[in-house]
Formats: sequence, structure tokens, C-alpha cells
Amino acid sequence: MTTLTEAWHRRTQKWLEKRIPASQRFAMDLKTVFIFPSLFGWGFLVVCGCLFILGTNYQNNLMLLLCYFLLALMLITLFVSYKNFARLQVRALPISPVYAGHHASLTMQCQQPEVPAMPDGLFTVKWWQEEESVTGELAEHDGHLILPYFTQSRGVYPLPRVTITNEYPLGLFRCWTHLDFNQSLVVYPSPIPCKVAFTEEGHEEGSNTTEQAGHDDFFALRSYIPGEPVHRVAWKHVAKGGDWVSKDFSQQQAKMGYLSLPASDDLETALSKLAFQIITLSEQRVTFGLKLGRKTIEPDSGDNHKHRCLTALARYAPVGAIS
Amino acid sequence: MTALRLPIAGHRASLILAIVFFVVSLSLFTPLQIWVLILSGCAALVRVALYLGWYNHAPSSRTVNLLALLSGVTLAWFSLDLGLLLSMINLLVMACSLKLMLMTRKKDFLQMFASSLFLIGCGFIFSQSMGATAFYLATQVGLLVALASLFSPGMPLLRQLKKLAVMSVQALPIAVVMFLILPQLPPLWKMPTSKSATTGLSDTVTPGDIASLSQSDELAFNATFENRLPAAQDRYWRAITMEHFDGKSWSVSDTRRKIRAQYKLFGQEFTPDTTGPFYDYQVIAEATGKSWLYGIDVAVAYTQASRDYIWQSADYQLIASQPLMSKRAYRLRSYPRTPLNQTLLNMDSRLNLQLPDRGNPATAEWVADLRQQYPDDRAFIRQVMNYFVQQGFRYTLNPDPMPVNPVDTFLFEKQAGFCTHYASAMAYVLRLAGIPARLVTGYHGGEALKDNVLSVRQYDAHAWIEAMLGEQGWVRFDPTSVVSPARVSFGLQQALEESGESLSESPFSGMYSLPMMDSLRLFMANADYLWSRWVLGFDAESRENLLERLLGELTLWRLTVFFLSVVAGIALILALYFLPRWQAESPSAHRKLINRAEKALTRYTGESRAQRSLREYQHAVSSYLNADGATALAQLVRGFEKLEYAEAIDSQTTINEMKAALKRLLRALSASKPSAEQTAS
Repeated sequence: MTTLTEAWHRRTQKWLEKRIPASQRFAMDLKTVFIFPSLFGWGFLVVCGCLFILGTNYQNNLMLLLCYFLLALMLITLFVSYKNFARLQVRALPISPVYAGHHASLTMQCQQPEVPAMPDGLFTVKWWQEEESVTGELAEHDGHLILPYFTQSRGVYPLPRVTITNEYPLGLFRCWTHLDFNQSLVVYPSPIPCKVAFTEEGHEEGSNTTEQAGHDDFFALRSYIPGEPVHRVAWKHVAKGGDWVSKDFSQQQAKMGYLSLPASDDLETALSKLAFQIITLSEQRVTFGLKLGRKTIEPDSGDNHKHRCLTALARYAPVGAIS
Repeated sequence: MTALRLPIAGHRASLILAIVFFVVSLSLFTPLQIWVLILSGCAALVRVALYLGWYNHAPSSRTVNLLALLSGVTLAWFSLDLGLLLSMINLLVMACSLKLMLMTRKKDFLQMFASSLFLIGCGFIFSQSMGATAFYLATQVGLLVALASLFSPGMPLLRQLKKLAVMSVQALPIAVVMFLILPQLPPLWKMPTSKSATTGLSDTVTPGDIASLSQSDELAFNATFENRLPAAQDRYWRAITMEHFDGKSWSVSDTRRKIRAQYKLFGQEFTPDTTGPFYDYQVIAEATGKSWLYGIDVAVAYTQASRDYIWQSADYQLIASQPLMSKRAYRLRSYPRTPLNQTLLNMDSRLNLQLPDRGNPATAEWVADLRQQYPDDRAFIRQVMNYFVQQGFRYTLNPDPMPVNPVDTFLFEKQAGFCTHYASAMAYVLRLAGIPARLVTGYHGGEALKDNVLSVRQYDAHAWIEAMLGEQGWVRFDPTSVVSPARVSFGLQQALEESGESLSESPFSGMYSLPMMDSLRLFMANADYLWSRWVLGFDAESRENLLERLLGELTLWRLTVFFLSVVAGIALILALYFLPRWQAESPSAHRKLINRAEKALTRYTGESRAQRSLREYQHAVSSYLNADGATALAQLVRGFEKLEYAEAIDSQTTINEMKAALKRLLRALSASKPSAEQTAS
């Protein structure tokens, strides 16, 4: 049974890839929009049928007229519903990486400057074939739809298709689409606190590890750069009503070295610990490199470097380590 | 899917739904039990309280279940009296009320919506007047607003209304086309009907009864004739044939009822053989709550739908398959020359010689005397009629009461009364003389609303008799006509004017004499008639007529083409509504102006703009232009740039300036045309 549904899903997936190829931004057209009467729409038809029978049996023209009016209204709704949905234009903002166990959020921008009128009605967004969904009106959120993605373990995940649904105006028809924004989510290993095991340059691997205390000497204050770790902010200064300033630390250690995978723990724990060390060293502005299996990242420092290292951890596959 | 739980406080959709539901149940005031109505009011109140935030959560389902149990038991108790239809409607409203209190999920809301929609449909069982239709239309809009609010809660109410109005207006022509074209089926099965208050004629007639009807100017029915109206004295609309007399009152004979039941049981219907000229007409009967119908003798159902609806009884009475709960149209064909001698005359005469056991001794004596003098039936009847004339009987709507031996009192003491007195007395007299006779009630006359439309009101109620004269069968006699010829020839009003009485005792009766009020009344009657005829009375026959008028002879080929073209027509309507081409915005005014200038310049200079910017093009062509033309072009370009790229504050003046500049430019170009042609060549 499960294999059957899986096969079905694969087929649908393939079909969708052909019909709605992956893209960063989408405009709705006949190819991308699916429309079908909702469950309530069918119920509505049943009520119309009941009214027809009632009207026929009582030979009551007004009931028949009411029934025909409702049917005609449903027909009109089909077009209104489609036209409304076809106004939708979606662009996905790049998704930022997260640590395992946290949730990432995909932001979809639906307001385009060239199309001032946004589609009406409640929109429901969810990941393809998932249950949890987010519902909201576009006008309320400046045209943004934000969909959380829950992560469990490290890795690089291609984001599944996003299903966007709308039942405006009367809920009789359900318009929906499955969009692939062609994005991958990088999930870093969640950091586990540990001691920093730092192999200095020139020494043989593992022979001389310096144990570092996590503190450096305070050097100076400089203005806060958005994105810096919050714990560096000089809160005392801010509390007095001053600008946001960060405490700068002197870089006493001019030493350079490599982090590598500790052999003692199992792989995931080791990667998590490594992640913690990378974060710590980056905060201390230490220049460090990373040796991971066959891959080596040359020593450097800064935010970009940190993310490169963490991404390497996320991508790390043990097969590579063994060989 | 969408959030399954609804917000409670401040949820507009629920509030609107609750209010609409309550208003609809209020409109069903008559069929509903008062406690069900109160329940629905309470439910609406609960919703209002929740909306305003007086309470934060809907009543627990345990409370409501208890309430449901109680209400269910109560309704089951009453349902014995109510009958199936009313019980069902009460049940529906009751269930909806309880659901409304509990409504917390989207599913509940949608169910409530569907039920309310159905309830509105049920409303049409009880009333189909123009007012009721307008009312239900409004509630319908309210319901849709509630539904739309559920699916787009953030949209302002006014905008929602506007969008719905647009959609409804778009849907209406399609609905009307469907209504006109789609064939109307005969009833699929018999529906339950309700017992409710009845109006109009009644099953039993005690002389004096119809007087109360005479005070009512309510409409009884409208009849639309295919051709001209029958003559005034021939408009005897039979409703009920009464064959049992107990000394005071006439009623439908029990034997007759049994015979009808037997005929129905065996599926045998009386079908009279008709001869002579005939006329076709459609009757739109008002609700009576009873199942008799009106027709001029001898009337037979004319179309299939009417045949299904009408059952013909052997006493020439037309009986509807179900009581008239609302207006109802049917078609008849009447053969006024057909003799009424096709039934079992033996049985009829036995039935109609029945006499009460005692009472009215003076009459019996008088009849015995008279019968000896006139052994011939016809002569006897003529003599009885003569008696009314010779003795100076008076026609009045306010006769003195005659509680004891009413026929004696009427014939020999009071000698004043109206149709039922005369008919009752005469039928009794004939029976005493051994001539089978029976009383017929119905309507006589009617006001001509139009050339071919007769409007019959309750005050036209009338009673006459039928006597059996051998092989000739039943023959109509109307004793009232000899006493007050005006009643039969010109109607009740005329008859009363002659006897110096007024029709109605209501203080407003004088108002109708005002010409404006009279024309207003006539206008309302006309509007109501048109509504009844074209909306309520539109049946399979009318549809066929309409198609015939449109297509000529109805062949399968023509019908197929017609239906296909109707489908195409609907598609066309939809295309008209929704194809974007119709709504494509036209280029703005300043672009149009620049385009025109560009075209003129290209024609003039032979140099097209191609991909150049407007400024570059201006430089390129200004060498060809004279001073006037160059400044005009410069102004056009400035205006265009201002409108296209800068924040235009006063765009209308700029456009006007551009228009003027374009005019000057064109004038400058045409002034130097010859030179232009030289350049071009």
C-alpha cells in the first residue's frame, strides 16, 4: 500500500516538474493554477439539488428560480475564483540556514510593485503533502506569506513544493498550485558545548592542543554592526541611552590552526561539538581552518567563513571520511 | 486545510449568519411553533453575546445536548398535531438553532449556511408574493455576505457587498435563461402538506355564512383567458358541490366522500365526454389551505401538468392533489354547452333526495300543496322561482338571524336574505317535491382586470342549485338571479347599491372612492396579477408557447439548435464578463497624444522614431519644423515627461496643455505641407 502511494507521489512529482518547472518567481496562469469544487462546493450542489426536488414537487417556480440562481452564481464563482487566484505573483526570498532542531522559515513575497492589486481572500500555504498549514490574508501581511520548515537533523534539504490554496470568494471552488522555488535549506548540526580542540599550524595533528579560555581582553568599543552576536553589545552603555555599541576584543592569539573531527565520539555528536567550536572561535575572531575528511578549508575568519565551515559540517557524509 | 476553528469574539461572519438565520425563522412565523422561534432567538442572542465578547466560549456541548434532548421530545409530542411538513420545518429550525449555539468550527458554519439556504427555499412554500420574494432575496444576500466574510474576513463589508452585488447581477441573466429554457418536471413524488388556517369558502354552508366572505375584498383567484371573457351571466365558478342537508346546513355528503375514495383507490377518474364550443384559460388560485379548485362547468384539466395536479370528481368538482398552501396555477378547458348527465344518475338522485329527519314543517306543507298543482318538474321549479318574485323577496347582506326552522322562517316570515338563503331554501323545497337537488358553492362574476383577465375576489362568493331533470341531467338554477338580477349581471356591488347597502363596514372603505387610491389599488392588483401570471404561473405550457413563438414549429432539429445556441449564449455572457480583453486598460491620455504626434511627424518627415528616446527624436525632427512647430513639439515632450516620470500634481491641466500643443503642431505641419512633400520626395 505504502509503496503504491509512494509510486503515485513520485509520478505526480514528475508530472508537476514538467508542468510547473522550478523557478524563483511565479506568475499564475492556466498551467499553474488548479481549480476544482471544494467539498463545500459539492455540498452546495447537493443543496441546489434538494431545492430543485422541493421546487419540482411543490411545482413552485420561485424555489426553482432560487435553485437556478444559486447554480448560476456557482458558475460565476468559478471564474471569479480563478481570476482572483491568477492575480497572484509569488517570489521566494532566500531561506537562511538554521541549526538542527530549529525551524527555518520560507518567506514568499506576493506583492509586486507592477501589480498593485493583490488577490483577496484567505490564503493557505503548506508544504506539499504535509498537514500543517499557515493561513492568512495577503493584504494583512503586506503581501508576505511565511511558512515554517521544521528540521530534525543536519544536512542539505531541497525544499519541497509549496502548496498555496485559496477559496475566495464563496468557498465553492478551491484554487491551488504547487510551486517549487528551487531552494535548498542548509541545516547545520546543533552545537553541543565542549572544549575547543584547536590544532596549531605546523604541529602534527592532535599533538599539541591549546586549551583556551573563552574570554579575551576587552579592547575597545565600536558601533554595533547589525548581525553581530548580541552578547557582545555593551548593554551598560545602551541602558544609559547611548547608541548600540559592541565590545571589541583584542586578538591576543595570533596563532592559526585547524579544527578537525574528534575521533572519540560518534559522528553526529562529534559534528555538533565541532559546530560549537566553530561558533566559539568565530566569536573570538580567531583565524582557523577546518579539516573534515578529505576536505580542507583554509584558515580564515569572519561570518562568511563561519558559514562555510558550518555548511561543510552540514554536508559532511561519513562515506567520505572512511575512504 | 484552512483553520478549522473559527474565532469567536468579533467574528463578523458568524454574527451575520446568526442574524440572517433569526430573521428567516421570524418570517416563518406561522408554520413555526412559538417555542422554536424563541429558541432561534436565544441562539442568535448567544451569537451576539459571543461577538461582543460578553462570553468567551460557546456553551458546552453537554448543555446543548441536554437542550436538544428536551426540544426533541417536545417536538415529537407536538408533531402528532403538526403533520409531517410542519414537523420537518420545525425540526430544521430547531436543529439549526442548537447548532448555531455550538458553532465553533468552519464545518459547522458551512452546514449552518446550507441549512439556512434550504430554509429560505422552504419559505417559498408558505408565501410567494412579491413582498416575500423581495424579503427572501435580501436574506439571501445577507447569507452570501456571511459566507464571503468567512473566506475573506479582512475585506471591508461595503466592498464585499459590492463584489457580491456584481456577481449576483452577473448570475441573474443566466438563472433567468435556465428558468425559461429548462423543462419543468412533473412532481416526482407527493410531498407532505400542512394543516393551517383556511380562507375562502368552507366545507359546510349554513345560510348566512357567505355574508362574512362578502365583507372581504381579498383575491380568490385570477383567470386569464386565451381569448375573450365569457359573458357576465355565464361566469359560474364551481368550487364545492354539497349534497347533504341537515335542516340548517349543507355539506359534502359522506357517501360522496366514500365514492371518491373508492375511485381514487382503483385509479379511476371521472372523465366527462365533452361537446360544443370551449374556451381555454389559466387560473391562478390564491392559497386557501383546502384542495378544491375553481372552474366553469364543464371544466377539464387541459395540460399534462394540470391533469397530474387535478383530480376530477363525479360531481364535476375539481380537486387538487394537495391543499393550496400558496398560489397555484393550473389550466382548464371549459365546455359550457356540455350537459351534466354523464354520471350515475340513479345514484346521484338517491343521494340528492335525502331529507333531514324533522324541522321546517310549514315548508313541507306548502310544497305538498304546490306539488299537487304542478306535477311537472319544470313547471314546479318555475313556480318556486315565481314565488320569490311574487312575494317581493329582498336581497340583503344583513338578514335577521333565523335560528329555528330556518327555511320556514325565511320563506314565510323574513323573506329577505342573500344567495345561500335562496339556494338552500330552494334546494330543500325541490327535494321535498321529489326532485333531486343539490347546493353548489363557488364564485360568480369577477372584475375584468384586462381584456382577457378576470379577477375574482372573496366578495364574489356565491351559491346556486342544481336540479336533476330526467335525462337532461343536472341543470343549474339560480334563485338569486330572479330576486336580484343585478347580482348576477353586474356583481355584488351593483346589487347592494340598488338595495341601499354598502359592501364593507371598514372605516377605510371610503378611501377606495378617492380616484388616486382607486388607481393605486388597480395598479397593485395589476402588478400582483402580472407577478402571479408570469412568475408563479409560468408552467410547461407557457414554456412551450414561448418556444413556439421564438422558433415557430417545434421540431427536434430546431430545439437542438436552440438549446445549443442557448449554451453558446451563456458561454458568450461569461466571456463578456471575464475575458480580460474587455477590461484591458486603454493607454493613458498623454501616451495617446504623444503617439498621435509621433505618427504625424513620421508621416511628415519620413523619419521614424525607432528605438530612440523621445528627446533624441525631438532633436532629430526639429530641423524639419518651423518655429511654431518646434515649440509645440517641445511643449508636448515636456508635458509627456512630466506625466510619465515626475509625480504629476495637476495632470489634467498638463494634458490640456499637451492637447493644445498637439493641435498647434499639426497645424504647423499642415501649413508647411508642400515643402514636406518635397523633402519626402
